[in-house]
Amino acid sequence: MIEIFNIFIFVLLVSLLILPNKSILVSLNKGNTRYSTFEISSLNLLLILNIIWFSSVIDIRKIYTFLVILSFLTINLTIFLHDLNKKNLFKNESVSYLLIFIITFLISIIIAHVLFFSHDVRLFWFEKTIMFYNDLFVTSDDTIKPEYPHFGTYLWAFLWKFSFLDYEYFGRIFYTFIYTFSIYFLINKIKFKKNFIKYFIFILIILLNFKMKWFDGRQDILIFSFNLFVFAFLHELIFNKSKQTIHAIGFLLTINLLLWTKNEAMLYIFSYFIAILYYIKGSRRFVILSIIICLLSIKFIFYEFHNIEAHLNRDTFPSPSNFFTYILSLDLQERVPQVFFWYIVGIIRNPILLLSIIFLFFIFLENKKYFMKHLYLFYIYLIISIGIFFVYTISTYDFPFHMIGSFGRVFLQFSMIFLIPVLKFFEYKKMI
Amino acid sequence: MIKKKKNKIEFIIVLLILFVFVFIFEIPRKFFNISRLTYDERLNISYDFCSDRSVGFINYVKNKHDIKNSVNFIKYTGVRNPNWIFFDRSSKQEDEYHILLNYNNDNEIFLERINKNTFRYKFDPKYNHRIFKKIVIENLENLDNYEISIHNNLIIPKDTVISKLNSKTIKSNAEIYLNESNNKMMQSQQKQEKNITIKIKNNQNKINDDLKIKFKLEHIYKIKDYEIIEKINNCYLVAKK
Repeated sequence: MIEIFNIFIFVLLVSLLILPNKSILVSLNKGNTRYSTFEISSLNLLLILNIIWFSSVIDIRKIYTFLVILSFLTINLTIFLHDLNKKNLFKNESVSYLLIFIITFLISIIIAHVLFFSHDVRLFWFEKTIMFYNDLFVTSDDTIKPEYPHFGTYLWAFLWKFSFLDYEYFGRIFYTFIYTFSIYFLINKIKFKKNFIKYFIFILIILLNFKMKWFDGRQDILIFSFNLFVFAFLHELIFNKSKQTIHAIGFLLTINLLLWTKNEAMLYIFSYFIAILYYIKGSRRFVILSIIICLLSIKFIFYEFHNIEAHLNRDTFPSPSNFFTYILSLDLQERVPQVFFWYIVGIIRNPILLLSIIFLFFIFLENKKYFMKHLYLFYIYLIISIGIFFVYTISTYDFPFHMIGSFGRVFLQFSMIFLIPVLKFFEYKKMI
Repeated sequence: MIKKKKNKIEFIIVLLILFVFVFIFEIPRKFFNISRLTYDERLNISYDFCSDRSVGFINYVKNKHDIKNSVNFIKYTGVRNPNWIFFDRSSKQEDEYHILLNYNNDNEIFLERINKNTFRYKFDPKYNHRIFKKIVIENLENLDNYEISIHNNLIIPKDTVISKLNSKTIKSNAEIYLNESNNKMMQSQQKQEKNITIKIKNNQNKINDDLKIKFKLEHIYKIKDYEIIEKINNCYLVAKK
């Protein structure tokens, strides 16, 4: 019972971190814009995650970072208690916060019950986590994949270290919190006629894509969640043509986290880069793209400085010296149809992506003008798909084993890409 | 009337969600198990005790003998990196202890016949850490000359002839002792988890249907050379004598 009580308290404290008090970041914004509670909460969460990332790259002692976060929590809680009597503190979102808390707690129970790690987690990710748990830095990485980005494992180790019971799964509970919050944040972009529908869709999405294996420490669930933040911010920046700094900052903070979580995030970042380049006009475009290039440079310099090999994936890509010889030796006639086949299987196996594509097809037939407004998502999807085709076709791993084994988690990462256009269409039609 | 109907739908949806959490995700059962079982007990249940991953055994000896740091593993299973159980990496690996997983005395491998003159040993990790001592060929017909070769697929695929038998020297059962280089090649194939293929040829290209091939092996790590501290099934915690 002590363990359950600890999980409950842990989830509660984590939830308190994102209470919708105006963070420093929001105060910096000089415009008189009124933000939604979830936008403030999302920035609180992204800010905390970036503080943890920062401590991971400068190798500061974890206790100091913990104290910073603890202060953040205390300030948040103090303001919250001070404003408790004020009406409309949560702007009618109190049930939403409660729901996020309950769902995170329930998934945490499942995580604490099934302690199984899959092959990749045992071999790479958990080894990195243990390294950070033992207060070592990336330079001491003697795992077989030192080139894999470290942020997710650092986060895992960080929350494991400061959990009350010193069990590793507390780090993974934080992953769960990011997951549930990001889903809610995305669907909160839709104006539902009734809150009940919103709660129902939120739970339905979780039921449709929940698999225990996503929470065993693999980093795909983080990529999935960060992609959701990006989709929500891109919706504001491109679709709503938002001029608010908060959206651009939120977008860039998320891009930074993506960059340090998993190597395949480079493909997503590239597609977002192209979308921004094409759809956002003026100085805003220049600023956002320059910052993305800066973030990429920081990573590159960091890898260079610490002598970490900045190879995307040694097992997947042939070495540059014999790249073309290798490509010419491939039986493309055999490979390309297989990749295509498994690509289709990947879509079919992902209920959310499959349903979104089916709905979008009908939306296209019904209202082409509406469809065209979300064209930026199709460009992103196209770039991601081309990237997937390219990587799996030239993979030096066992073929088709590599593809069969990893398509599920790869499709999970961007599976919610079309959720906003689909739900927005129903909103537009006053159906939800 | 419409409001009542809507409330009914909402109620049904809530019931459905509750149903999923209770019966599909089995939250109450998991709740009960967490309160009943310790972290280690749940960890042992999530894996196996002493077979493929042997997390149960490793966890058991770790707690019983208060082993803090990672130890040397001698694995006769396909598991990679069983060291993950040891969270403390502040000091160096314990050299005193060795953990042998799925240690077994199966020192004979019968090869599967895949066609007329080709026999295959399909990689099995239970034969790890072995010396390939000899190849035994049973039911040879004494009328012919034979050429035995191993298909080496490590770097450049090629057949390495390991022995030539002629009708004057062979009996119905032939034993071919493997020299150092052939043994190393086979050990290397085993280490890289590759199958080993043996080809047998004779000048008439007719191979007896009853012909059987087996490998005779020998342990590299002999259990008698160690002091057994803990033994459960085929898992051992040992220390060097």
